[in-house]
Amino acid sequence: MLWGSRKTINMNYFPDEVLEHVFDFITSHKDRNSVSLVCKSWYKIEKYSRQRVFLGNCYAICPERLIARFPELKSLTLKGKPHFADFNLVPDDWGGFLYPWIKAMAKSRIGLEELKLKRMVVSDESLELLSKSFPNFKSLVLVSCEGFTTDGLAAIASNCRFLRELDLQENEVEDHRGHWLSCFPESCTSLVSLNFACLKGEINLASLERLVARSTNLKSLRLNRAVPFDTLQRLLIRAPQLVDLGTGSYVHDPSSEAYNKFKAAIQSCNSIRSLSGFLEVAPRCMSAIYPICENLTFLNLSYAAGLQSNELTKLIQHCRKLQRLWILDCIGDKGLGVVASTCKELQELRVFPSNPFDAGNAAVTEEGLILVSEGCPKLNSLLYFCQQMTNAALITVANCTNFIRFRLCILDPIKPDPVTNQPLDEGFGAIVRSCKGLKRLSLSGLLTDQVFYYIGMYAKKHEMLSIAFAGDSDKGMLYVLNGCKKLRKLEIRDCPFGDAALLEDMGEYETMRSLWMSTCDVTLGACKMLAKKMPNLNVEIINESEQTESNLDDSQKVDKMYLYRTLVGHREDAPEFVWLL
Amino acid sequence: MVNGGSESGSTSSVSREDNMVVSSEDSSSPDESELELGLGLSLGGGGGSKMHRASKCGQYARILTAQDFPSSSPPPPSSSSSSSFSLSGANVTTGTKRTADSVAAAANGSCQVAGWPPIRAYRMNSMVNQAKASVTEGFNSTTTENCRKETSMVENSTIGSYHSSGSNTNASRTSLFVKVKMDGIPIGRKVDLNAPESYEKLAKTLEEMFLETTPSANPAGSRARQHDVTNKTTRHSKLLDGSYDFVLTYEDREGDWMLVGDVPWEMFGSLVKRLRIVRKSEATGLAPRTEERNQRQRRKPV
Repeated sequence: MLWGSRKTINMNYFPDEVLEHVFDFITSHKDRNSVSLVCKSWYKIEKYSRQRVFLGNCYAICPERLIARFPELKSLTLKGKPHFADFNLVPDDWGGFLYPWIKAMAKSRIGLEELKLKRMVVSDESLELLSKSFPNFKSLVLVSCEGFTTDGLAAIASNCRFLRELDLQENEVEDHRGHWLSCFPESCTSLVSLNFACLKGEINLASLERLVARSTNLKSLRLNRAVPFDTLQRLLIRAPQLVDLGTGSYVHDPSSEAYNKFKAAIQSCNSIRSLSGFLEVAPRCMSAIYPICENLTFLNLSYAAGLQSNELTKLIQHCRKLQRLWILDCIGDKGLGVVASTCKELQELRVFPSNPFDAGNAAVTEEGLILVSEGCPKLNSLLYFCQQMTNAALITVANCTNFIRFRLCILDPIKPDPVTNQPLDEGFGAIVRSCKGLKRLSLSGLLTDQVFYYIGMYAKKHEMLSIAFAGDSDKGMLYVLNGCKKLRKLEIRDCPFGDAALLEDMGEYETMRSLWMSTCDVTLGACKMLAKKMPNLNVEIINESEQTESNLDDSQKVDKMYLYRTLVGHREDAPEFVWLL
Repeated sequence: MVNGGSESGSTSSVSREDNMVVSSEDSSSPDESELELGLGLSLGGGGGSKMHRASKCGQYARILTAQDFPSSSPPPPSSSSSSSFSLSGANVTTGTKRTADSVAAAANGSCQVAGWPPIRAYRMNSMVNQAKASVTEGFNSTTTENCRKETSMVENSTIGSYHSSGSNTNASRTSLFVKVKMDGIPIGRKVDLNAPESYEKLAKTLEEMFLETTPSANPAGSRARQHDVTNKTTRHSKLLDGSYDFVLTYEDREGDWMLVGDVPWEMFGSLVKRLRIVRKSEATGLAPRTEERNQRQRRKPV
């Protein structure tokens, strides 16, 4: 036996449990995928030890098959609708339903503990079934989801005895003003994270206080607008150990008793590193939080519409350790200058527009961005809504070579460089050339095929690209498809890319998660051909007009096309306005 | 390898396929909720695909901004271009092919811009609601007592609303599309509640959508259409004043169906989930109008 093949020796040498223990240290999905491909034995061990699964597209595989593959599943992340659904471009009822997943996992007695969802339709029924089917369920994170009401939340609160995390981010929740929060039983003391900032209705404040008081492990608490300042102050007294705080209403009279109490309470909250909320804010009351500013690493004031630039800058001057900042553009270019000189640890900046429909009056321009890029050497992630941008500015910003995510939105999307009247090809070209680690890019402004030439040439690590109103011809799209081999998600709107670009390299789409094209020059015939030649892709057309599939001929352009790779063919839950080719 | 027929294949190829799908984490979505950027302009709302095709000749319709939405009459083309757009006077060669029939689009009040700017719908709706809340603080019955007390103290020093900052005083023109269905018509439509400025305008939009583009769903409908043609500009909305066989109702956030028109217009958008134009005879629970009762009595056989 000793002299048998080396492969035999290696495989038989370690018992399964040892291999399993070794695999425990392999946490990245990519690596685990590789491990499973080595041989049958490793495949089997990996399969039974895999607990965390990430599915970027819920239609790429069906629940039954996933469960068969990973029967020990404990933590599942699912994404549903295409990204542009966030901007109302995908009609209701398109899909992305959670229920089939819960039903299948319940049936197979999966020991689910964590569920994280993005852009899915979550019904109350599915929440209720979830709460009753998984006794060890610990964590529910819903981002940009819809379809549920506070009744569903009541079920979660009532039935998940070991719940640690309930995190609701920017969901559309129908608020029945029931007492969902009161449904947490007195015996529930396990909460670590509670975020209900997106709920619109009132909650039982007394229940909230009691819940916070008995949740001694609570680290993260984000309140909604209905929680008044008074209650906030009392909650802080009960939970001085908080690390992440989202205020509800921050409106009060600076001379009031409540304010004084608040100031005292916040002083003992030494652990707060992350601050958000201020959904309703009265000016001149922000000085109360200065004491905790010096330790903040994340500050989100993007919903605090009542704060003017001078207040914002005064506040930020106290935040020397800030790593992530989300803010409204009313901070202005000068305010961004203060950010640049104060926040030397800054890694991520997001500047949202306070007047999104007033393209000529956005308060920040290329000036602010230049200041930040020059002042914050660690900056690697950017989302910037602005009034204008110049090539010169982008070339300067490109000196900040660390960018991983770079999303620029000029509110007037085909605006050229206002100084030279040129397209912004050179500016973006500089960004992709110098930022070798760039994974995500969103373009805007006047752009020709040239920018895609640069992207194809330099953007080797790109994973996600968002394009609109850009390019002159099919060449643009072809540069991207040919050059960006790591591309996973490509989304295109209102660009002159047509059939030739779509069909040139159909195999490429199997290496990507998905492609979205709307208001481009792609015809129905080309989509049909693509669907026919590539059985591993689902090609879906979203058609909201009154025309039916039969009276639209192949030469007509499609409104919206979404294609994605899948193992399980056509989905069965598509509504009538989605044509599965 | 197609669909689920992989059982006969080797496990490693199944694994490879599965693994492609069960991919590594996104770089695009770190922990926090994201505003993900995508840009685009597509013309939605009333007019649907026809409008879309018409303006596609230039393909890049001009971006409609708040200034474009007509209050009474469409703005003249030149002023709307210069007030909201950058290409006027700019380098013409690259710019012209991107201007399209958007002026025609602007003239039609029911045409809206979807998906622009690329801000998550939740955030947009929250901006609108913040503005409305500051306008209607007194009416809003959902604020707690404390809240109301505190807000009234600082009312005059401008509680945060997205529109008090900056010099722009126009109300936010985010799209707020809701579904509309009419009894007897199987296909529903969508209407942007932020486009019209009053109940009258909304009702007119809906009348244009349903009563002029569909074949008569009932005899009353065709009578109404004739009536339409003659008195188009001067009549009040039949949907609102109860003189018509249909009434306009809406489903509120609590799931109840209510008659449109009770609450101040400014509040309406934040309350409504969807609209329905129902036959008066089926609007049980809503008090029948006097005229209808009279008509019914007249029709009764003697």
